[in-house]
Amino acid sequence: MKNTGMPNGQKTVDMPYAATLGLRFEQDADGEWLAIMPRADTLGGRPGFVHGGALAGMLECVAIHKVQTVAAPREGRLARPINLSISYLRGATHENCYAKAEIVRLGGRIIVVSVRVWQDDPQKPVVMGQVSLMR
Amino acid sequence: MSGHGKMADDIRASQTERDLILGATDPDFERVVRWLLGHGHGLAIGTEYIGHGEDWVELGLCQRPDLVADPATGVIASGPIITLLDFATSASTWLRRKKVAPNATLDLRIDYLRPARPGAKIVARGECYAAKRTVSFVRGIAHDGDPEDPIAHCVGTFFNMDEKSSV
Repeated sequence: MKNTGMPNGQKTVDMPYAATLGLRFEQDADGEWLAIMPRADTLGGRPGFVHGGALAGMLECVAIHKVQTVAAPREGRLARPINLSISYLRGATHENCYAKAEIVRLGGRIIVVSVRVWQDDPQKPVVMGQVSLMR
Repeated sequence: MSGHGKMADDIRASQTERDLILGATDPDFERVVRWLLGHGHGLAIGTEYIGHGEDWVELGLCQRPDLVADPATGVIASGPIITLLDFATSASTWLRRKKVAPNATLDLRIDYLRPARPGAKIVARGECYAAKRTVSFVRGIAHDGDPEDPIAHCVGTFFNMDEKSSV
């Protein structure tokens, strides 16, 4: 697993809550980040499905991580979500969840990130969301 | 969990699971909510039942070091707050509809007004303000002691899966 080597010489993002979700980040050959939340009983919601809150939590952590990869933190602090709009497109069963983020707008203080979460098929997202963050 | 009364616990648990999967028109509402909070992700982050009324549910969460977003500030991440709001608003739809039935979050929007005070207990109150045949409409707030000074607001919709055949 390669989770170091962030731009600007930063180390990997230290977010205790992301570790609680089991979330990890890997970089592919093109340098693009992929987030992985392995299946776990601790993520369950209604019987048979991943909790919507865990998916929302994943989405936010992925957005915060994305900001850290493109912009230097202010005063050593992680970007803070201002709001989050999330659509649940399919029930997420107890399988691994994967996510990729895209910067929609990179401003001086406000950054908008769009995140897509899928399970077995990247073309069939289980969750899509947009997060506005402040740094 | 202790072994004492385990069989009775198992019977109650399986009844609750059946209610959640198949629906129940006369549920022991508090039992169903407590069961959900005591399993899976609810258990992992430490959610607790506080109370409920005709169309609302109030749940609590204690801040813990493993729920922190940024160790530089020690403030709880927003993810556990959304989870609490998702739980509370989802359960509020059952109250309004007067039955427990499987539902799925369609969408959720959360605004974070301010960071929570480190260490303070988080309270989420979810309310179902309209329940139509296929979709239930919810709103909620989260606060850390004073409901007049919330840390987050949310609005959302849930799909009533027991009405699937009518879509």
